[in-house]
Amino acid sequence: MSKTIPDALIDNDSPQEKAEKEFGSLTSKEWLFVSKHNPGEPLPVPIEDEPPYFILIATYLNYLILIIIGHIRDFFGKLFHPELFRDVMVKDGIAPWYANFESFYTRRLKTRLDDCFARPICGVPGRYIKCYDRTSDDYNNTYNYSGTVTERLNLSSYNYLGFAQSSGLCTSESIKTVEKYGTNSAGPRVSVGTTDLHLECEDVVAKFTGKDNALVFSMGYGTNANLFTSLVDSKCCVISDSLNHGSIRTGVRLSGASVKTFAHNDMAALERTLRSVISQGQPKTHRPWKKIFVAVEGLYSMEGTLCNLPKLVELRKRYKFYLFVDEAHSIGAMGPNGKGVCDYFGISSSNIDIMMGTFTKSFGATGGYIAADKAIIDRLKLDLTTNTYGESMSPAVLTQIITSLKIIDGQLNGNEGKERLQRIAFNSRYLRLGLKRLGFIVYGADDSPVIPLLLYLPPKMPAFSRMMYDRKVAVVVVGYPATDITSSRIRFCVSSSLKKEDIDYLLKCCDEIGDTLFLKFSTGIAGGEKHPGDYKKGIAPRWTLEEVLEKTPEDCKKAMY
Amino acid sequence: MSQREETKDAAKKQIAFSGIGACGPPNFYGTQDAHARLEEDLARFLGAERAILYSQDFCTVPSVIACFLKRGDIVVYDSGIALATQKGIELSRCTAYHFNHNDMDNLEKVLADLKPMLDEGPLTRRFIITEGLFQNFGDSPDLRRICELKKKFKYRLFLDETLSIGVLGATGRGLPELYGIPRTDVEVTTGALSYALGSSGGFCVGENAMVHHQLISSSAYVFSAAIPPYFARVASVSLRLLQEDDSVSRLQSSINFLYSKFKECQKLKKLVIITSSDVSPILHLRLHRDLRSRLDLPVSYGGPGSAMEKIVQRGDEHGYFDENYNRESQILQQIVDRVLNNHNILITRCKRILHHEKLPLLPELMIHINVAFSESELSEAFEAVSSEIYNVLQQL
Repeated sequence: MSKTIPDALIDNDSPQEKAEKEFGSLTSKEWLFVSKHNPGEPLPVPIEDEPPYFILIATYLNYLILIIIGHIRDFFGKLFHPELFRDVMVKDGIAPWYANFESFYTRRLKTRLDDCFARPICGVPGRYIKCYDRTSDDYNNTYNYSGTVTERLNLSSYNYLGFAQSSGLCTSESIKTVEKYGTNSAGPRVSVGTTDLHLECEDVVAKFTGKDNALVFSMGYGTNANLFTSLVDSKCCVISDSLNHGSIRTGVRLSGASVKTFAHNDMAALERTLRSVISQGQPKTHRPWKKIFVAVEGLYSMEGTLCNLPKLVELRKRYKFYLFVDEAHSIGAMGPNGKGVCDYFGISSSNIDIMMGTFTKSFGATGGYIAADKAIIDRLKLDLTTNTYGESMSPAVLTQIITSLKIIDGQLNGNEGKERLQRIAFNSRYLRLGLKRLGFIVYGADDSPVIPLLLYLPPKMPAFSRMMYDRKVAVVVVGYPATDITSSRIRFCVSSSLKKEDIDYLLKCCDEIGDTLFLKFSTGIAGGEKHPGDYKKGIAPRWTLEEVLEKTPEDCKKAMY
Repeated sequence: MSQREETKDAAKKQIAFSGIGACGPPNFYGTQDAHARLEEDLARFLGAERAILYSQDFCTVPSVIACFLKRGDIVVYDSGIALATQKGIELSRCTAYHFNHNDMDNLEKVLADLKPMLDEGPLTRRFIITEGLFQNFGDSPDLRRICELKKKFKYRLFLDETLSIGVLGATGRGLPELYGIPRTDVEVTTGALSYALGSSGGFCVGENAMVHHQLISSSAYVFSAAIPPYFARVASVSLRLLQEDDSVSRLQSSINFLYSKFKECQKLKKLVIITSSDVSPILHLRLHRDLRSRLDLPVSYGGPGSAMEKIVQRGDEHGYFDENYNRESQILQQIVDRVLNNHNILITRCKRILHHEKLPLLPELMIHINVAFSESELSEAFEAVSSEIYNVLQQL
């Protein structure tokens, strides 16, 4: 037993076994699907199912009890065990690192389920993930590691296209790059940090996104966090979706621009906001705005919903604002060619002014990019702080991006890219419909690889996560503050590395746990009914596992939601 | 470090084991054994309780500052700090005061002036922020004096060691080692893996409670994917190499050699001044005051109360172009170009974006010294740079 995370063990798998564990082979050509939205059809509004009222009441009660008990424990703890509260007490006239109330949530609520977060792993986060076995005998303050690992089915990593691999073209090319270029690229881009790989990568990204030019950065979060200071100032207005990622919010805050938010994906609310912003102008002076930006994400990582791009483009034409789309999760994962939401909706990327995305998710690399017209990029090259002060991307990472992008695009390895895209589309649809039919409340768009399963009650988060963990499945639980206080959830990140059989197994696990934890309370409004029209008759979908496994793989390819 | 066989081998081995990306934030299955090892190595190397890793050097400092300083908290910062720190202070919305660059008497005065006001109000978090090796000057603060002052006035010290880790001190453990002060006297240390350690990313070290709070409160840590495991492995190997061989002392003697050459050079006396210290691996050269006044160049560009500040507040983008700043930068670029074209030696000049900087700045020539340079190469570089500086500046 050791208190620290042990070193990785040497595995004894043969190369074939290892490759299979990182990227499962396709068992049948039937398990493929091309994800695409039919142009002309309106975007189906994602319907959010409501849980029964007693669930909501129980959720609030749960938090109430947790908070009351937390305060009681704090009160008596400070009285009898002041040594445990050293971090929140004044010491030698110096204020504590964080105030009592700032850390209440962490100390009293999160610590209890800390074992479900930051589970250390080793090796490739592919189809299977190797998690270190750990136990805690002081309520998650410290852990004991036995030194062994358990392989678990991976529904947690952002590995949409399965490019997290330790063998194959991407990896071998990257290793060659390390030999040739060394381990980093020695400085910011505008000093000596630009190599031919950076230029090639930017070229490849620009072509892939259909824009004139692109810029790549070594960190996805940093791309957004430092972008807006160069685009907008205090005379500009940014209209932001209420569920935009923290990096966008940080970036906009730094820029000093006025911020208006609209309810998540509510296009009518956006239009209202636009009309009032345009008609009112700047605060106090009522002068016209210098620029108005609308910032949305392509695929929302916590909700699994897509932005309503057709409507946004229509609004952009009418109201003449600049459109910023963060494709951190959708690039590479959505659309028949993997080119993100534009590809999915069949809309030309010329309708988006600034396209941003990251390489962490679909490409198995790290970093972010901005793609835009040449005039914008030329200006940003001189103006962006990340470009001038931040380190540039590492050469081996660039090679990984270039190679994986070329595979997706079909320039390398023939049909492999297409197959990866069609596998993730099938896997996502199959799992989503399966869960709906079992009776779970699931959010998000049909084709999205992010599938949040709603739990509502906070104690069900650790319960679900641990029960899944025991069944050798690694999942991510998300609760407050990342989501709304009442909507704690499990988030499945589907990958093309998963086989259909893996999803069968996952559905089986969810079915068992769903019964034990009482999670099947969907009404059927979001789909999954046995017979079309069941919902209107008040019949909720509750398929048995056998029925789901038999029918869903075929049904999920039709528009049955 | 990035070109050493040991680090390259470690990188290749790690890529063959775990691929490139970590594919997830550290809190969601993004933490690998390589990350844990590096965190331990960094903490042990620097003599701190615990370390935390970030994905980019430039994002580390703002995120750590914004994690601890909120509205109403007090920060007193050196007026020579780098842009990342300026952004962090802006992001945190705390109340900020500054003292003259490396002027400890001025710091004492600022702290003493603040004392009566702070004594009345509630107990807020108070930080002094400075840098181990200034990115804009190449010099270091008097750490002993700062430590005395912070103890006297009950402040915490935030030291940004982006450039100084692996360089300053007998074994590269940074500014505290140079002054013989234990690392525990510096409450927050941030640094980068991308300079001396030949990897990529940033880190923060300090006491347990402070690092623990960042795990869920620091936005660049929570909202970003973990660094690729091979970055972590490379940095671990670099740290081991730093302790095993004499890279630091060899680098220090190279720095000393080149520094004294420039310092003693008579023909450059009237043309340029060296702002960096004799331990900085980056030599900073600025145009001499007399020369600058002869050329009608202002004392400094931007900064509080300057015309540029007003232009930025007005959002007048056409005013971002400053003719004098551009002219001075162009003079320096001429020197860089001539050194490259005539002697095949690459030096650089500082590249800063005037309208983003909140503090006054001046263009500089920068000469980066690498441990792999031999004495003859350094002499050759000195001859080339000094003659081209002379040639260009003499004509003005």
